[in-house]
Amino acid sequence: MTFAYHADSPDPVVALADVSVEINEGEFVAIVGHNGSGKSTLGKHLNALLLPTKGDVWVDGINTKDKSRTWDIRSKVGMVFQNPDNQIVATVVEDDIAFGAENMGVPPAEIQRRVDQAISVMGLEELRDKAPHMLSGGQKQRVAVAGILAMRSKYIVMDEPTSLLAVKAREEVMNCIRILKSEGLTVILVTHFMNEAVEADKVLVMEGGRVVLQGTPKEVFARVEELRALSLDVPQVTQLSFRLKELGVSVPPTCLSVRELVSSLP
Amino acid sequence: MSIITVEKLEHTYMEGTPFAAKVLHGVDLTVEEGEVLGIIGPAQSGKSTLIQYFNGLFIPKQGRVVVDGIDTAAKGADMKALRQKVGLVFQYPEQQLFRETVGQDVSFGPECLKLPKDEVRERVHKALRQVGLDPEVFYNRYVFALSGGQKRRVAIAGVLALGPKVMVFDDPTAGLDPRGRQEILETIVALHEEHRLTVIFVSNSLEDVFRLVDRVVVLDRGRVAAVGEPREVLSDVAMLDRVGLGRMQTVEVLETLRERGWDVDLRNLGVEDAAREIARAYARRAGKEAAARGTL
Repeated sequence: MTFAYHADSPDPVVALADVSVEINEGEFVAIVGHNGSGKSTLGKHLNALLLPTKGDVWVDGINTKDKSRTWDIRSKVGMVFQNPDNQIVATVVEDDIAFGAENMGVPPAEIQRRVDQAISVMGLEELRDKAPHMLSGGQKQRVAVAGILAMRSKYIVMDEPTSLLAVKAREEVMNCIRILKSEGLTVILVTHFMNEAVEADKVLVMEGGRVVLQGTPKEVFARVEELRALSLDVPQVTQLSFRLKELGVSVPPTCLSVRELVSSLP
Repeated sequence: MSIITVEKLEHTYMEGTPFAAKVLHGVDLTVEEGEVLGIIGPAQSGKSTLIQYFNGLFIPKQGRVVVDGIDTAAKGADMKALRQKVGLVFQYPEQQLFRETVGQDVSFGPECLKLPKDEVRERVHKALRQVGLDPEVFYNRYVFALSGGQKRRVAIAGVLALGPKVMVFDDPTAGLDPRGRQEILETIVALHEEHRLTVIFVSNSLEDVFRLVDRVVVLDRGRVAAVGEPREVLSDVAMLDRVGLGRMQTVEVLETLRERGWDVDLRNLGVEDAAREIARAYARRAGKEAAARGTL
């Protein structure tokens, strides 16, 4: 697919050029790249917030261009945005989580059941009666995810959910992704933090509106030189294992975690 | 020579109300002229409060802050001079850009100083060059047409145009993509190395602190928990645990190996140093093992 902003104007801005991507059910996919690389634009195509200028996007067999199915797609694919403050709608956490499901016309008793379950999955029991705007950034993002769970979305697109958060809150969001994955949900994480991509099943690296590298984290992070050329970060431990290999120490050349590196040493 | 001295500084928010919260508990600290000083600490450790004392946004009620000879709490202290000496770059400084073009925005500070037109222009050009933006290209650019990293550098130029001796950066890379982050860090290095400014760098990234600073101060709930060279401070894992800071991955690897009985020094924090240290210890262990096998 190809997408251009202002497609009908004399000078359209091509944000995605000839992108072909397949995401399987239950996968955790990380889309990484700089600002302007097209990664968020791609994310917004996954629930019909944007429609391709050329080519097609299919979600569960539904073409996103089929206007009669837009709401089906949006209830299948939930979105979490960068700024947690922009997605708060209610004055109590529990109500905020219920908002999406309410809008879909789910019966009240069922909403209550779903909200309770979402709260327990996201570990928000102690916050359920709190005011969302008083929560920390990481907590707000967890509330946003709980709202998607209550909608029973199968796929969750997170558009730079950690870029405005402090270190601890980032870890909180990563934990939340691990939980979603263990619950069998499909997670698409748009990020510019390479260390968050380490745990993904698949990594797509974008630059200039194209997918320039794709594969498992191991395959992608092995291309240290190419990533450097794109000025993307390689995790310190990966650089370290790469260098150790060069110095003749027998370690795998692309370790993605501290544990992996130290367990390969005697 | 020290350019900023902080002695027994205390700070309480909403003092005299039931909500009073003490956030600085007797902080002592000096900033040497020409150095790059890092300030790290977990959320709520008092970093952002402390730096507001450096240019007189807060005036000490208890304790003392002296900046380049000006006691900020003294009667008749020249606050205008103080604020020109110390430039403060807040978090997300690009949110403070308010004029249409780059040139206009950066001119705002020097215009407020009532400098002659020529000098304003000269300062703006110099400030833009200092942050790596060519004035010929950027002076007439619209602010909204810039990238995130460029906007942030324009905001920094606005502070530089006041001609400070000390620049204070509060988490200057937050929210930027890796390229933008790299640009900001390079800008800071250049300000120090080429323009001889004293730099105070507050950051959440231990790696950035390690790369950039000469000395680092660790704040823990309003107290100084450690101060020293980055390789000493950032390898002090007991202290980092106590304060609730993480560690660099290199330190984590070295620490695990040491626990396993490897003879490695945690102060080798850089990737290259850590790799050499581990390779050396690895070779020695392999040698010992071979020798042991030989005697059997």
